[in-house]
Amino acid sequence: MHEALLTLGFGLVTAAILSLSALAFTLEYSVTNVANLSHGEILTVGAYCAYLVQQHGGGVILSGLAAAAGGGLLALAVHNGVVDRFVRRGIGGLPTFIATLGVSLVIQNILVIIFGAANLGYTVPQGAPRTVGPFLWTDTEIQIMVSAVVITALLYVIIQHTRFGKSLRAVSQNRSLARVSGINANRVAALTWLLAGLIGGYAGFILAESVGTFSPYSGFSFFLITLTAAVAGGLGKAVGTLVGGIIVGIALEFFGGYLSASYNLAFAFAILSLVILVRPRGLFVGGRRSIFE
Amino acid sequence: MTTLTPDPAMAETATIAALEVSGLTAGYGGPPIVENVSVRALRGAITAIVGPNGAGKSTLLKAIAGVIKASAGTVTVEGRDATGLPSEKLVRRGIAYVPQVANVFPQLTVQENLEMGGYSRRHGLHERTEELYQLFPDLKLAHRRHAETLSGGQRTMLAMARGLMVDPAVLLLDEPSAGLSPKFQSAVWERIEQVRATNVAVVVVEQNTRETLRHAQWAYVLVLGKNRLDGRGRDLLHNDEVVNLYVGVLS
Repeated sequence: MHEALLTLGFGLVTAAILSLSALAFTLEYSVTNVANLSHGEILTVGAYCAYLVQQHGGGVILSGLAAAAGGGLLALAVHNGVVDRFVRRGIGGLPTFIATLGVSLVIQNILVIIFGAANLGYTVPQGAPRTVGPFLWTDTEIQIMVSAVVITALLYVIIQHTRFGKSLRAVSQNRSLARVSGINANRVAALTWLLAGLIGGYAGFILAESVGTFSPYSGFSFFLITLTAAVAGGLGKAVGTLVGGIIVGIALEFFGGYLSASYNLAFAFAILSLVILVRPRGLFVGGRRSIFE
Repeated sequence: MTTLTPDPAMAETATIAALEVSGLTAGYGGPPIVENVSVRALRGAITAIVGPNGAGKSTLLKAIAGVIKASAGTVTVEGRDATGLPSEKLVRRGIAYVPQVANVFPQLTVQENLEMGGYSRRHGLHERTEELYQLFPDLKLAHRRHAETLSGGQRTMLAMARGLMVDPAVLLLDEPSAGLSPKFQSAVWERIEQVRATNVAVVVVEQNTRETLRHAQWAYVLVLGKNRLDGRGRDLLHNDEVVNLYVGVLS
């Protein structure tokens, strides 16, 4: 029983990181209808931006802010430079999807050229694990979870209660009607990708902190798990995605803890296949709808 | 009978048309769906665009609203050229467009739908919302409900109210009564008359020609994407050519 609770504790850390990454991915999807295959690189670039800050003596807070800024700028560039050009011409779906895969490979290789392909780690220490109730967490892990909750709550308020958030939902529900209502849909989409990039970049930083090391490819591996969480929860739906992230994050930790962590990715895809077979629209789509959609 | 000059009686009262469309040609990339179409609409009047299926009525509205790009022709709103503007800019010029389908944001509340309709307003959002709640009391009762939970009739009312949030010069309605029960259809026409009375130029595209011509001060008949004839709504109601168009005697 105690061991299961310990595993749950580690699962909650993974769930926090995965939920942020999946929320960012679902935001990108919601306003452009494009599954952004370069989403993982937003995380990777965030991790490297934080690394650069720490190389120059910056602390954890500055690292997190740098990661968010790096991710945000990259997402904005991918939207304005690639995705929006397809959307404006009415080309959605597959071609745009492939284009973002191209972006992903280009960024990975640029990072290899600059930093090399080897694993890097942060200089700021994690701190020793301590018991919190039945759980065993380091200070860093507690910071990760608290920050994820705060960011999710902020995102909820932005989406649900601000003028920008309402226009974001309007664009995601009906882009053409949003435009005839006077909403500049391209601008709203660009700002949404910027917001998603801020969250994704930060997620990349806390992922690297939690794992301990990172490389130009770590974002892409985590993206595959992100995809599972987002699709399982219901692509483009914030609450579903959040729940999907939590469930998949915890499930992965149990799988890794009791079976083998080396097969995490295979396990994630098994979940994804199962969900697509049973509930193709996502586990939490349909029935009573949440207001946070 | 075929004429493009507006009703002389109406031309006296308004020198500048709220909407002046001239020589508009538009389509979806292939051959044009509407060709060289001219339409004029005045404030305080209902202008109908009727015609058999495939006449290009909805395409014409989309081109006026900037949803699709016109390849030729001009659009003038209250005397100012608005040709080629994207739809989000046309709203600020006073053109409100209500599509036939997908005309509300399904997962926004009624209140949020209206707020989005008034997105381009700098101020007076609250006052305008209250005004429209008076015109559409059903919506006030349902203001916290998601649009997708409304009945077809209520949804049509919400779609019209969303368009009216900007206090437009021109309200373009694409088949507002389509798919509604006769009871709701007459309720929709009642609202359209009320909107007209607030000095808006209402442009209505309809399949239900008889009812539409009864309400329209002026009507244009489109056939195969071109102007066929126009005149006072009540005159066209008994016009042999119009009657023939609908039984298919004329191509």
